[in-house]
Amino acid sequence: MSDTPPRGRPVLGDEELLALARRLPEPSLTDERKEEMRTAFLSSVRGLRSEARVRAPGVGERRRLLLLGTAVAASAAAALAGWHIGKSRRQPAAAIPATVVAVEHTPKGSFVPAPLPSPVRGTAPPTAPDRPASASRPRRVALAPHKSVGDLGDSDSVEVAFARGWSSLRSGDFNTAAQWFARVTAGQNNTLAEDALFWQGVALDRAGRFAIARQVVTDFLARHPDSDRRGEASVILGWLFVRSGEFSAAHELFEGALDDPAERVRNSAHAGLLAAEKQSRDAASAVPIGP
Amino acid sequence: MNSKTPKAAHGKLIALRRVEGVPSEMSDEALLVACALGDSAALGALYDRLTPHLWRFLSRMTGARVPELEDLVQATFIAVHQSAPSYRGTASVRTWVYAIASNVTRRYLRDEVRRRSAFDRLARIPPVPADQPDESLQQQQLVHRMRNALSALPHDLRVILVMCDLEGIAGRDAAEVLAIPQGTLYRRVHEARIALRALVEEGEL
Repeated sequence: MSDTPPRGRPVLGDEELLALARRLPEPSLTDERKEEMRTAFLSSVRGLRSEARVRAPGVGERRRLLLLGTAVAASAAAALAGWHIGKSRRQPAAAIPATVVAVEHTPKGSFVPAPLPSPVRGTAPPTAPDRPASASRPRRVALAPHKSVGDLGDSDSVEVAFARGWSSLRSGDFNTAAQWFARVTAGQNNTLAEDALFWQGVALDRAGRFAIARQVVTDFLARHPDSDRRGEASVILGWLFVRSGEFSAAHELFEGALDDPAERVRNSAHAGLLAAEKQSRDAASAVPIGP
Repeated sequence: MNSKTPKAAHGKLIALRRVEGVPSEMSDEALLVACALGDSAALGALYDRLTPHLWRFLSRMTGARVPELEDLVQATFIAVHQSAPSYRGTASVRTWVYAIASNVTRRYLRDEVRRRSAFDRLARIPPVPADQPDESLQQQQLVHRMRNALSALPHDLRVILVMCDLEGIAGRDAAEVLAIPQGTLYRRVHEARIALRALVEEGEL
């Protein structure tokens, strides 16, 4: 008979097997962490609801019709203007996407939307740093009523996706915002990819999806080492490291952001350094001494 | 014989009036119906009540670490919130939530993020000395082997094993939410145990 297991191998009955499986240790869920997750979840849900109100038939019908009417009228005006310009420049008016009412390009610099509420642990938001006036004027994209991420056709521009991501972010629907920004970053050779990757990280962070947020922000720093947003991204990543207890990595990131031109980023980096040092000391004192 | 067992009421749960009551005193089912009506307090209460169970379930299903587990809990509850109006009352709320969580983990396990974090986690596992006769070390090895074995089970078998054998969900409820016949469920439970035992007894450290 070859039923005997090899020497040193366990022989387990059903009960022993399941008892062992039940005893597997699981990561601890502290009350503080649970509360943070709860807050992040409920804020995501509020965002989803506000989006649903815009989309629900009957509820926001007047608003939808008004927006639709505005979009149609503006599209017609844009088409007419395009026809006039096209006559002189030989450009077809149909090149303007139907959902885009007006797009204003900045000559140089990154997209800087309005500031958001504080992102992490009550510190100053590293989201809208002080920038030169020429670079702070955003592209303005007015949109038809809200679409879900899956509705965006291939012909729609990354600018539309970016604007939808941004409006979702503003309305608190962080998961949808992250998906829109991911669409932008997936596209090749577009000038918004850098900004989109940054805002994707911010959206994921606020959605409470800290693990993915961490990867996206890390990816941002790796891909765009010379970005204007390097300091902000470092601070966000630093706070994520503080959260996961990796204090030395956090310390390094905060130090790198201390000379950022934006005051709020510097303040957040200072606060992060203090928090990392304090929590590092607390953690060290909590370690039991002995074998 | 007239010993018919009462059949569970199937059909969509519709609240005839706004659900009232202190959330902490309401049943899971009442909370879920209230969630479907847009009651934030009920949603918060349901979150508080189910999170510890869901945390353990997801940990057993994926073996993930804290940040990934947090993401999975959030993704599951977002799906629960969105699907609340479609809850039909054929199984307990906890079982229904587990079924949603199992779908979330299926997607998660396919994800590249999962693979990356797995490498990361493997890199952090301290090597266990193999030749020491110490009993606690042998126990550690066994736990380690069990964790690997559970991760190596096919998803369908793992869901059933975790639900029925580890979380104590009744077979009828589990079959209902997983949309499989009860006979199939019991057969898979049996297969899962055999596969798990084989993996634990013969698996590599």
